[in-house]
Amino acid sequence: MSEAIAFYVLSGLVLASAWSVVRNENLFHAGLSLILCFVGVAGIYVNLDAPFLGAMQVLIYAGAIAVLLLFGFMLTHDLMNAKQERNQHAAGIFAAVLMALVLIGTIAGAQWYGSSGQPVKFGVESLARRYMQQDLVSFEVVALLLLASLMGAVVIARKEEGSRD
Amino acid sequence: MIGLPHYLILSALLFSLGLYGVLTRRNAIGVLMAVELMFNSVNINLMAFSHYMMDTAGLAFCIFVITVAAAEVTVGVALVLSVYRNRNLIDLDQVAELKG
Amino acid sequence: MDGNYGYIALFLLGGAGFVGFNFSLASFVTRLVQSHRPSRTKGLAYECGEPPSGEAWVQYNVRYYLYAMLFVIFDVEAAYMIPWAAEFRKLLAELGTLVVVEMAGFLAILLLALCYAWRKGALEWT
Repeated sequence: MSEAIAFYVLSGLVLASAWSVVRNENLFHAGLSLILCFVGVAGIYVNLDAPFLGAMQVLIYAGAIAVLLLFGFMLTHDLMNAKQERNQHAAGIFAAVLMALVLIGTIAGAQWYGSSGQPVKFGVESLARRYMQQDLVSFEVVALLLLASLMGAVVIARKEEGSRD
Repeated sequence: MIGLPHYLILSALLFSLGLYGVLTRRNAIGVLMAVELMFNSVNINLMAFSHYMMDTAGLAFCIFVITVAAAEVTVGVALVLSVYRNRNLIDLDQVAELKG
Repeated sequence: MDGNYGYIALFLLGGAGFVGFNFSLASFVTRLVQSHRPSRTKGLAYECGEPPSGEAWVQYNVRYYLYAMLFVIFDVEAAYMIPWAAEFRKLLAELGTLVVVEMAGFLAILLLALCYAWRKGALEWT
């Protein structure tokens, strides 16, 4: 019962703040709504018995990625005229509604079977075991991906900074 | 009683909102924000299946998706900054040409 | 879902209620007692008595972005190290020194990233 209440409250929060993210005229406010949306999604993860993933969502998404996006916005705009125009309004609504209808139609029409496996605990233990055994290659590739993205971002962001100031 | 379809419908609605944002925002940073919404909807989807199918694969994949999103945002914002500094543009429609 | 998370929801509600109550009370009381006589000098930004010069919002330097980016990269690293560290004893007993070698490889690659950023001067402010 409490799970159902938490689900409805959190989905209301997530969808309302997501609506604000895509619709808000002031992009800085949209970024702040994005943080609220990430926190709501973290609550959804906790509701799904994955508190570690919820913590990581708050730490990485709300704490780092949203802040990086706000930094990017502040570096390219002055906040006093943060008003945004938009284009392709009708086409955007059409595509989004079509997408939602197709997805929800598929979900509603499908036959969902109950779980058949053993109940598992979504703690950090299963995750650590996966990293060290099953997903070892992905684990090391992630380090390479982070290295590559850091190199790329440093090269792109620092290029000809000297000529600028 | 909340079941798998509830979470899937939430994720579908979030994905559609993100799609709408990607299509209608003109500011590059706004498009990146909408892309983050779509990443989150995918994560909810993975975690819901992981929970109801009793399999930890979805949890591990969620962490990988978060990592890829972080890498994407660092490079994406760096690209936006670079375009802004070189051409003083932030509107994606005006950046459509590749000629330097 | 464990019952303990109800307390977190309670905390959130309590915090939001505290802020909302005090904010609305303060704005209500202010409206009762204030006199409203704005002038141009009063509306200026307060800069320690000096007349303000320039805009309040300046464009931020790109160096802030480099720091934020480094933070994101090493923040993500935590998502992989926390499960490993939390289960270290159990994994060590089960798999032997292999777990140490695997994490050492992961950290070596990320150390390479830090060295690269250092060499490129992304850590220097000037």
